[in-house]
Amino acid sequence: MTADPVSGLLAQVAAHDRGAFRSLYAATSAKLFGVVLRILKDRSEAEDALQEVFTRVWLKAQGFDPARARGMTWLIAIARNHAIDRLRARPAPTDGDDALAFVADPAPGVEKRLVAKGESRRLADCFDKLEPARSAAIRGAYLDGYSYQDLAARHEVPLNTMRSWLRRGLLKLKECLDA
Amino acid sequence: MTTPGDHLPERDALAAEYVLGTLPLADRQAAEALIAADPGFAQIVAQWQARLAPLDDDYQEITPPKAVLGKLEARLFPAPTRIRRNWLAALFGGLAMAAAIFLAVIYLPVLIAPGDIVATLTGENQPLTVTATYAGDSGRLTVTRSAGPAAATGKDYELWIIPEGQTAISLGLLRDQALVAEISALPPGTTLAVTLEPAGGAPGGVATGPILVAAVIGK
Repeated sequence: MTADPVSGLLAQVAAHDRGAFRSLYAATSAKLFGVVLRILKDRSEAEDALQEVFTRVWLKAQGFDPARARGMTWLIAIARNHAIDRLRARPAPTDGDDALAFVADPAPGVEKRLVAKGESRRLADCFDKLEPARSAAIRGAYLDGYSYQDLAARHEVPLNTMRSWLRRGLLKLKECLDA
Repeated sequence: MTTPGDHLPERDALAAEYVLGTLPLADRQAAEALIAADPGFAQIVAQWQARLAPLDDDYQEITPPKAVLGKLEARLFPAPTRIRRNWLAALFGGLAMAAAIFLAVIYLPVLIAPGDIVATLTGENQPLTVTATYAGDSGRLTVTRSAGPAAATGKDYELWIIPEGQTAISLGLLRDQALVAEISALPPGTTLAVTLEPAGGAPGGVATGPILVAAVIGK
């Protein structure tokens, strides 16, 4: 595993080092703001969410285990989970709004696939083995926070059908990655 | 490890869905409770996290407004405020609890009206919600259970105040009627927390039960 400077900063933050907290913020806030903004799609809420995320980081840094995850992965998981919780706590959108508001993800460019290395490359290859629609649904859920409800509305299928369809995709992904 | 087949085992599927984020809020909270309670499940979640983490590369970096860091630091590291401690002399040995709270507490926005402070005490996956209102002019802190069940038979909710950097002090038991305590100040950085204790309260004035809900007074 390559050096993980974020992990080192997290260890200092766990010891309540405020200077390290500031450095951690400087090093990671743009990425984490990108995460919460993409999921929440609302700048002001994303700013609140970012504060909440770093508050949790300050409080939970002692729970970070560098043997289990890279620092940045751990931080992004906190940011995603918080943003998705906020999204799920919003009142349900009015009917018919959903499908229209749904914007298709741009497919990753060819250049990007070529430069993807190591784990990224493996995941990209495994995604390529799924049907494009299933691959897009899983990526959209992860990156944009789409719920089963959103996905079912988009594909015009019942929610449980969407759930089993997506679960089969996850199973294939797992088999491909763990092979 | 994987058995090829039509289905992911249910736990594995739930872990994947939690990481993916597709579940409704209640199911997500149930999954979080399972992560906290079941290290095996937490491990499966971590594995899914690692499998899907390369997708994180797709998130662009977007610099947040400068003001965010200032607000964040003001919230986490409030300037020290002089505390008049008369009754604070009755300090109980709650060091361990103060440390635990540091880990467990969830910050919530605190509404501050002129002179008054309203804090909502909540906890992760916790139906109990407690509202604390502090009237600055009268020094009266009024605390009520605003949502969630009463403590089970043989148990009591106990309210604690933890001045920043100090040990926890019991303010009394939180039962059906409002708990009113007179305190000289409620400066930013002070934590209010509720633990579950044996009926009658923590023996010896030191918290023994889990922290259910908490809030830190903001600026």
